[in-house]
Amino acid sequence: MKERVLITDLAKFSVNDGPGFRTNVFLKGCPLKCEWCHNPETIADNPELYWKKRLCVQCGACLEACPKDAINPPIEPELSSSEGSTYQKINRAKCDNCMKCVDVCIYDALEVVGKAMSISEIMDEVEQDKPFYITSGGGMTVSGGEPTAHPAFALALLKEAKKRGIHTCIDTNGCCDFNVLKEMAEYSDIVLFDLKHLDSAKHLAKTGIRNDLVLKNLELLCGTDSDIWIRIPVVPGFNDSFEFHTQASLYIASLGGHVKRVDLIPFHNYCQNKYAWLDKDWSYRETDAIDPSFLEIYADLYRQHGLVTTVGGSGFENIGTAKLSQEVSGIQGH
Amino acid sequence: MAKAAVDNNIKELEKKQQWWWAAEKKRSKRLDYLRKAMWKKGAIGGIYPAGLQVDLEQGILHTQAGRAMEMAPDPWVVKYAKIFAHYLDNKTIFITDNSQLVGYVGSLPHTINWNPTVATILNAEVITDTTALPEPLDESLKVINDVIAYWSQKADADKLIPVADISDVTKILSGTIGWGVPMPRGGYSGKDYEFIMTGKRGFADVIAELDEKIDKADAQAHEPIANLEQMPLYNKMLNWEGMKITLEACIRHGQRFARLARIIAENFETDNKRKEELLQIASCCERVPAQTPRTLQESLQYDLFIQLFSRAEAIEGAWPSRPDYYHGPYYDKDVNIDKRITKEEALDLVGEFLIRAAEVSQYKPKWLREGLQGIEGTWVWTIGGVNQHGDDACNDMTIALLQAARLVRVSNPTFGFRWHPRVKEEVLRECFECIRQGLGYPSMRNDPLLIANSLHWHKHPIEEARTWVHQACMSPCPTTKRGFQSMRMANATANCAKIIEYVFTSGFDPVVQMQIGAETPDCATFTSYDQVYDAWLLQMKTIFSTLVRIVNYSRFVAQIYTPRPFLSGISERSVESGQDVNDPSISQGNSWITAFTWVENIDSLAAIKKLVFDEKKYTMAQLKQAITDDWQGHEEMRLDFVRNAPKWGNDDDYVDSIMLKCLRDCAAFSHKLQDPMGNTWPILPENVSGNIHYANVVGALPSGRRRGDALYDGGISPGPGLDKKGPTAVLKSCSKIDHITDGRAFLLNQRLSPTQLAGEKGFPLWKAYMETWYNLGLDHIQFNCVSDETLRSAQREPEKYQEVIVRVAGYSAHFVDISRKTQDNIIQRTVQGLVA
Amino acid sequence: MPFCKECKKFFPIKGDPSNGDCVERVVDPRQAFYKAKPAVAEKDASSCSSFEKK
Repeated sequence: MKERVLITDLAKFSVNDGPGFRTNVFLKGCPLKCEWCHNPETIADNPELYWKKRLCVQCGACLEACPKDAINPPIEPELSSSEGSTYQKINRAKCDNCMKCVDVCIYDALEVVGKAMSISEIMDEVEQDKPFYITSGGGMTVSGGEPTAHPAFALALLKEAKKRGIHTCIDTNGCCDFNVLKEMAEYSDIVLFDLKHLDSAKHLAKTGIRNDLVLKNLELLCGTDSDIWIRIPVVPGFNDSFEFHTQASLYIASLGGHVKRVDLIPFHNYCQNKYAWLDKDWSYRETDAIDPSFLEIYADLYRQHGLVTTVGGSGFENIGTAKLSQEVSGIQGH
Repeated sequence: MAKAAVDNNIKELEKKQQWWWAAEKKRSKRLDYLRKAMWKKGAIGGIYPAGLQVDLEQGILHTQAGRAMEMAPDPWVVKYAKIFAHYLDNKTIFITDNSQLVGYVGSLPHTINWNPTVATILNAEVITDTTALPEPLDESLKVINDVIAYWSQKADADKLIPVADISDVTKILSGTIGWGVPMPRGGYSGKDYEFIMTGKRGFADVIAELDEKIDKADAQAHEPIANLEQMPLYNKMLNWEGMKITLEACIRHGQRFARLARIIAENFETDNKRKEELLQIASCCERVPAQTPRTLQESLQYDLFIQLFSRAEAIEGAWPSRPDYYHGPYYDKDVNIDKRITKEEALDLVGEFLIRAAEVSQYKPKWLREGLQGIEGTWVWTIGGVNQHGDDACNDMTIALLQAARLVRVSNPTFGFRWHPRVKEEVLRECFECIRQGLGYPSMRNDPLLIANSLHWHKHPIEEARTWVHQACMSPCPTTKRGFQSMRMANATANCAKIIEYVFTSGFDPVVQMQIGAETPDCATFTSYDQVYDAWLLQMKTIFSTLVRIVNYSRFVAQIYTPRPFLSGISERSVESGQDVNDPSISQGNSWITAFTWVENIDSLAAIKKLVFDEKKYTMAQLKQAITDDWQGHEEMRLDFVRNAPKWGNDDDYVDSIMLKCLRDCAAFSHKLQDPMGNTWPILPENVSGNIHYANVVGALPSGRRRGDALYDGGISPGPGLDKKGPTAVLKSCSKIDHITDGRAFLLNQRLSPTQLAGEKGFPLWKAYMETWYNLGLDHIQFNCVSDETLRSAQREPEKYQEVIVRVAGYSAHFVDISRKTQDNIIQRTVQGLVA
Repeated sequence: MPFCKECKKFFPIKGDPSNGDCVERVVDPRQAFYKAKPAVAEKDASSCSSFEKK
């Protein structure tokens, strides 16, 4: 097992990724290439370089520090920071991510994304918020990127959390060897399982892989006693049709009792700057965020099947009723 | 509109979080009229809103009475009582249409009361700032000049300043280290509600007690054999006489309202229902304040009278009260037991009570108006908590107050809620609704902890400590005979950023060019952090002592120069003893030093320790130079101090331990400092608005702050944009402070997003957050809902709003990092309450 | 010479008719109200701008 893996963020006070107040551990590296990805910095498994034009004063210190001649010469700061500017500080073709420029930037405009952290470093920070987990039923959510892309490390992290008495979730795309998933699920109180599309060709077109493995893993996981929350990122033009949600609700209803909740996660574009900081193009840049209230009618499709469903995935919504609906359906079964 | 349509309309408005418009539709016609009838008095940017007028009536009447008694042999306490009585007997009174509660601090609804007897330096402002003077201006100026001339040398501060230590006075009046002038009738008066508000006695009953006291003392004073015990009696009898004169005037003042109400009912009013209401007002004002209230209306009227009479005697910066505790029994009797009135009718009364408070306005100097930013004072009404036995004291009046607050939506008074583990969910939900609906209150106070804190610092007996109310915005004070503090002079308020600033100037203040702090050695010669810290300690002690000395002295002499016969008359300790209420010998003591701009010290010390002594990147000489230059020409170095030094509020022990060390050394010193009662002087970090007021008074600091930059906005809140680890880390940092022994109380501001609080998920989220707050042992928290206005400010000044986070599943973004177009979109949605 | 007691707005105190209240209706930009000031029945009202004969 690697001693340390790259973490892009430890997001405390997360309230939409499993029950209660949670700390999200974002591991860097993901086998999928979802076009709408909200966290583009978590896809590659190497450290990357952000350039934040808002903070850059065009002082030129990075230019002098760069051994690879990969820094573009300064221009007027007003020009570079204007909304429509196409100016980029880094010549990515030449840059080898040595990060020497970051050290000399006193304005925090250059930043390394991806910090190597050990289990104990992560857990010490996660544990800081234990008083919040206790009152809210919260804990740690291992997310990414993709936790199963770091099987040994993520597993050890979950085990350590359990040892320290912390509630755990993993947020997975389900694209991995089932044994890896199964083992991690054993140390997770809840598995947040992403479901993107039921049509394999469409899945391939937008995520870079077919969905056969994902669906198979989901079905297998439903055969274990793991609690599962299915999360569907609803993306415009991809899976935002009535037809898709009718099918998906039927499919999920057929999976059985271990699916405790369905969260419809509306597409948003708050991450457009992250693409800009990485100097990456994003095909959804101009796509508007979905108004969460528009998804309520889809949520009702799932609810008709007795599935506890939220729009937005709040960790404070329907937690009590999740148990209740389970009991009710149990009685109906007799 | 049919009722169903109105209900739908309200629901729609609430969904869009248009709370004001929803409230307008929800409240009764009466309440709607009264709310809109209210003249809002708070000054915006120090300027009174158009249409308001400084009221000259108190000045004219006081001067008239003063002149008439010029040759009279009465001692000052009796003269002053008569001046007070003359005012209440002759001031203009009015009754607003639809109102059920009466009384106002000025002569007309749009007036700002001006009391000329407190300080000539305040009076001088009235004449220099003519924007709110009545027309014709010439005539007003003539009257004002006359009034000011008469009270010159006679006003409280005029009398006190010459006898106080001139060096201390000069330092305080320089406006650098403290706030205001020491005035026993210009600050925050606690009240002995256990004496006057528990239904055991009205003013007539107190007068009967006073008569008995006077008769007995008189007999004793004339005993055939002269003895030394007779000596104090003469003074006591004068004090009793003063109390009696004021209380009798209060009763007559009530009767004037009763007469007016009857005159309107019998001669003007044509509507039968309103006639009945007017007769009800008449019978109410015949009853109170003379006798004990019998109904909720009488109880509220009685309380309102007490507050207004107190404001006829003094300029009150605060409104310490506990309306649910003292009015609760009357609410219960009227609504639940006798069913005299319905819940809706009770809400009308409670809502009007809030409006009657909200409209109160007393003239303040411009610097203070600027500081208070649109409100009249820090009126934090205390609700919730436990009773003297420790049982949950919440009642239906608690709920009614929280509901009425949402209907009338006034920005002052606000509520401070005493949270304890046995508060019922129903009551918590009402608190939550107020916060969610953007009122910004109640602030939440940790009741068991603050009771323990009162025992620790001021040794109040536990039954007394449990009666506590906010004496001003933060500090708990009992409402009991010995426990209540009759006057808290606002100038024990330290501008603490000066402590660290003076380390760099050896106590010389560069703004006013004066030696104010201690002459500590030249910091450029310091070679260890300990030397810096020792200098800091000495500056802290010097500043605190300077402030405390003058407040102590003022309190000692207050009974001689500025007696308060009215406040004495409603205080058991004075009625019993015949001593003025401010006499320290009959008071337990409940002093505190308000610590403005406190956290700057911590961030500055941490930056010095890390960058100068740990990493040795700079010398003290270099730092001193940069500070002297206000960081001009040292921008790179400044950014290092801003970005690469640890900041308070991020759950980082490096800097958090400095906070603890500073607080604990202050606490140790607080036990050495003595107040006039021989009690302690704990510090209480909070800011009110000192962060804005002092921005230009505080020079450059090692935290990276330049002169003119806004200071931090809360007592122990992290600097703006410096709490990079989010709200949980802030609470964790704060929880390292022992909120019992490290200080008197600690103000913490937190932002919450209305979208997090929206819908059915909102309450469980807030409650879990609050339970964590409680478990962590913090004493205070107040929430500012992130509004579209906050987000607009964040667009303008991103560096100050770096902690504002947009949270969605699997993702959280700092608002300032989002593109402008998307920000605009989020703002629109925040307003509509749609962002999850 | 007019006296206060002759004015419409003068209301004598029961049992003390030499003193009374001067009561007026006022409508300001926000609210309507009745205001009262003490008045003396025998006071000269010739310089009073709001005097209204009964």
